[in-house]
Amino acid sequence: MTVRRALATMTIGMASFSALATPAAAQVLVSVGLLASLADHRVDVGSGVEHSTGTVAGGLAGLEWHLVRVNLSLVTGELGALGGNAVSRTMSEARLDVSRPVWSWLTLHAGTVTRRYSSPIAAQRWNIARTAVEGRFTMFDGVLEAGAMGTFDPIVSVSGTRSPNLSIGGATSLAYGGKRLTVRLAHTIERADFPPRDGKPRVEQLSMLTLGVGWRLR
Amino acid sequence: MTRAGRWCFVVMLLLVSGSRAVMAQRSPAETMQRAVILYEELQLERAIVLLRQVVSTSAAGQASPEQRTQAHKYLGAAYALLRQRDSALVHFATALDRDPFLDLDARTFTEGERRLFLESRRSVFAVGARAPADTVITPGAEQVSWTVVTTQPATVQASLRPVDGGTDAALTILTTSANGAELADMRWNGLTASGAVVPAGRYTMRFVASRVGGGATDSASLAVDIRYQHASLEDSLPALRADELLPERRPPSASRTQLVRGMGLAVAALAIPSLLGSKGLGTNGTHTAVMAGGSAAAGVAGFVLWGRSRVIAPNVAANARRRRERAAHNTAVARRNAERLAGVRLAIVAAQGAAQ
Repeated sequence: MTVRRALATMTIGMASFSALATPAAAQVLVSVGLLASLADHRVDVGSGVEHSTGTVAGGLAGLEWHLVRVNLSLVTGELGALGGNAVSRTMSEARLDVSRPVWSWLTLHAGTVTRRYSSPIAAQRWNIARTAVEGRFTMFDGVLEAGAMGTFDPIVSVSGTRSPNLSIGGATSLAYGGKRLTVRLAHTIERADFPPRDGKPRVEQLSMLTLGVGWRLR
Repeated sequence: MTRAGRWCFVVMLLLVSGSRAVMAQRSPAETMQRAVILYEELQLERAIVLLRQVVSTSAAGQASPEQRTQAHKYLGAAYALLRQRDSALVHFATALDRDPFLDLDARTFTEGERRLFLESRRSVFAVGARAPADTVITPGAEQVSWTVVTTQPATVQASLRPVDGGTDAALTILTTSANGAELADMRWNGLTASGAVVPAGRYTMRFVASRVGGGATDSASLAVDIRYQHASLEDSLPALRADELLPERRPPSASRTQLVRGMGLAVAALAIPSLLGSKGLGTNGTHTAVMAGGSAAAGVAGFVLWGRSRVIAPNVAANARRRRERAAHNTAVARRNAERLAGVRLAIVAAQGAAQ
């Protein structure tokens, strides 16, 4: 309940952040897209690394109102187990991200991530409130936009276990932007360090190499 | 002389000297008005005294040219009635020389006076011209007319020249015949000799009269202001300045900048997983390599492509488009202005203080 309240508070905060920073008469840009990611999930609960990889795919919808951009993405896919400790699982994720550039080279992000891992033996749900800072620069006279981002998750809840002590991540991206078409290659890595249980620390890491194609509708 | 007789003499002397002082203080207009009354009452000698005061050199600073012309006319008429023929002819001639439009009204002057006036007209050769009332014409379609008169039959040629145009060439030349008795009109359609609309400005219309049979010429000039009347014109936009255009060439350092940025992103792609990822779990080398390789490739491509050509093609195209738009705008402005000027009307106004 506490986590849900925190997520609701964060959502309201993001909406206020967007509304305060945006003139009412600005044009609304709408875009949709497809995502495909190579996911690499690794967990160590003290008894060796459970490693699973696979492809997740889904869709993306974006709204841009003046300088504020809101992205909603939904992906799902199978992660196959690698090695004897791991179990194959299905990964599904919904991600909401609100961003606004502070300067031309710096953008602030806030958002939520809801992720579910399900396997024949168990299911685990992650709820994450995320903040991020992204540095950006352009190449080829603005045709390419490059970015490097650091994330910090102040609130994380994981079903069936205690919340992690630390949840951080980073990403690099390279995006081609045409008049309507956008193609984006990004590499994200997330890491969560959980408090030791029975003297054994738990570390979980998700790496995703994502190719996204977006199309601006208006 | 008795005592009473001396007092009467002193009083009369004061009255006479007072009346002279009053006369000396009278304005030329009042003197002229008084002289005409005396002339009409046939007190001709007293009228002549006053008229001579009007035309006298000492009074020249006070009497206007028109008053002096009128004074000469009445002097001629007064002498005609006194049968002093030569004096009458001289004053009539002087009046006609000053104003060739002058005439004697049959309702006011006698047949004898008019006969001597006509005789005087035949002895003087002069041309006079009157400016038209302020007129607005459509060049080529309407006309404006100057009224001219000569004292004897003559051919009159008028030429329009700019006052400060720096050219002696007449913009247009008009010719008419005057028979010495009637007014003649010189009509002009607002066009130069070449058929163009005369430029706006101040002009002198000079009338030169040559007596039929030769032997005498005279001239008169009138100043005229010619102004255009048309819908207000639009201003065209100036050519785009360099600081209003996008840069069309990259600096020499641009290719190195592309390489540095691409390599910088590649370094970040390598560093982030190693810094943020768990040492114990390891990282996916393929993911990292693809991202770092893609970034480095972009940097190398930028270095090669930007080094090969420094021309910024999108900016060149954008600048060319803006120049075309500016040129199209100015062409449209020029066309609209030409349409407005094609419908121009000329306002022809007598210029103040420049007529002769």
